[in-house]
Amino acid sequence: MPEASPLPLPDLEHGPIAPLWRAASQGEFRLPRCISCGAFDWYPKGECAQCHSLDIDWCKLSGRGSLFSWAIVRRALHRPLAPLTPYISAIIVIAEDRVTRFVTRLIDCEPAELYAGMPVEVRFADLGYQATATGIIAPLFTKTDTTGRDEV
Amino acid sequence: MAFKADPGPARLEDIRGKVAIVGIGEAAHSAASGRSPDDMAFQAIDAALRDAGLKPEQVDGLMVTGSTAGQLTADRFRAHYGLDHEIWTSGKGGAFSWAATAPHEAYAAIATGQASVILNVFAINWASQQAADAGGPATAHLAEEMKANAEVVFGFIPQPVYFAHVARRHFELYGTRPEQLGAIAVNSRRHANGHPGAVMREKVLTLEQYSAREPFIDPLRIEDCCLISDGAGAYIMTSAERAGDFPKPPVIVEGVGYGGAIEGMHFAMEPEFASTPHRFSAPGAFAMAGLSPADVDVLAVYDPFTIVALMAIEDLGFCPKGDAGQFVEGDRLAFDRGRSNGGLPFNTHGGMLSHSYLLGINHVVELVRQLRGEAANQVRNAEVAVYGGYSGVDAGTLIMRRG
Repeated sequence: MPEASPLPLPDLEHGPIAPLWRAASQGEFRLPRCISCGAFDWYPKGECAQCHSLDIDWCKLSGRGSLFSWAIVRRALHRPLAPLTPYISAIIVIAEDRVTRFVTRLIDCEPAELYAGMPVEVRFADLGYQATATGIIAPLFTKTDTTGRDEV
Repeated sequence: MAFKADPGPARLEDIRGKVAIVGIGEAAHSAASGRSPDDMAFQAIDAALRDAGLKPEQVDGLMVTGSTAGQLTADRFRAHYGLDHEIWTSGKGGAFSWAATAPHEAYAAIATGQASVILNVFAINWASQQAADAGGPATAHLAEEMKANAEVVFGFIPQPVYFAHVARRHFELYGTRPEQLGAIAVNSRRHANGHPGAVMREKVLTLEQYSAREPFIDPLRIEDCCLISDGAGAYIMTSAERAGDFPKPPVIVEGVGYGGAIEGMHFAMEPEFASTPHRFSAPGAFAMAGLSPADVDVLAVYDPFTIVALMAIEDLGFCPKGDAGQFVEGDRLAFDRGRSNGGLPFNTHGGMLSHSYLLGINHVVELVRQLRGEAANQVRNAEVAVYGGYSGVDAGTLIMRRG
């Protein structure tokens, strides 16, 4: 077998969501939000879908949310991701707006304990957490201490 | 697919009864073979021309999937057959949802006198490309900038990962179970076992075998995912007024519908995450045809994953939303149960799950065979057939009737 390629990495300088990655390196979870009406602009379109304002800023969020859906990836079909396997790919919704989804990875969770609506919170860790160091801090998520089932 | 459809249902001109499909053909389908798309396309075209009793010089229209690399051009068609006549062309054909909507596009050319015999063809060598690490279905998704920065880096790639999330969401919302996805995989395999030309013709799959497999992208098993193939398919369209001039019984297009996903390629952001754009494309097609799902004798659906097939059955209106898990259990989808016995003959060639990954073009070829009464897994008295085409970002519905 050939040696696995390094993990795919985000563009921290010029990428479309470079501010998210720069915020993560400071230990903050930020998403673009309309200053006028508070609606989230995710994925960024640069114009508020609700009020059409162009006044959008990357706002700091609580880092809390709820599990929307997930998959246990035991085999990586995209070969550069092989070092991560097995991993839990996940979509969460953010606590500030339960219809805004964020694609991430769950860490320090057991597959059997997962359910839709499970409360989760951000954990800033290396993008290659427990697999391979990348030097890039990512907003990964894990279960919270509180139990319960949020409406998602 | 580097392609953006307008969100929601499209308004299409009524073409009920205007277009006939008078010829069909396929290349041999296989795993990685080293064959070029053009070689396979011409094999399928030769078969379709023979089937329709036509000569290459009589073809004056060519439709392909413009957004898929390597598809046939009018220049290469002329060069291959040593011709120099004018050929109307359109990139809004080939496979995916456009294997459903091509007759609508074709009719515009027929009605305005731009073409009279229109060939719709699709060829793919993704099996060879993937074996050579040179491409395949994930290529367009990896290249999309937002996905590269917000999804790929977390491990949310390629399509089996997307649709594992969709399946999980369907399970959580509606109580759907893995064995119900398995029922679709097993039924498709049984149909392939009885179908000459199916890549999985010799490989049996039971529900027990399915359940014993460990999910590799949980909740999906390998058997929930389509094949990756080399192959080609083609069908020939003309005005329904001329339908009687060809050797085979004609198939008449009764309805066409089309609709786009709300968020395009960003599947993770799609508001109705456990649904498909079939919900936008189907109502218009059934309205145009003056038919309802209850009138359909045989259904073929673009089936990249069992979960997509399951959602399509709901979203096309064959059962209430959320009920397809129960609906597909047992032999409900078998070709030999039939509507009068409460069945819904489904992907009678084995679909992309077990016949070949031809992106839907040979779903239409199979339905034409069903309506002619010449299918391998023949549905008794099949008069009305529906193809549910899909590409992830859009869906097309094609309703056909025996002429």
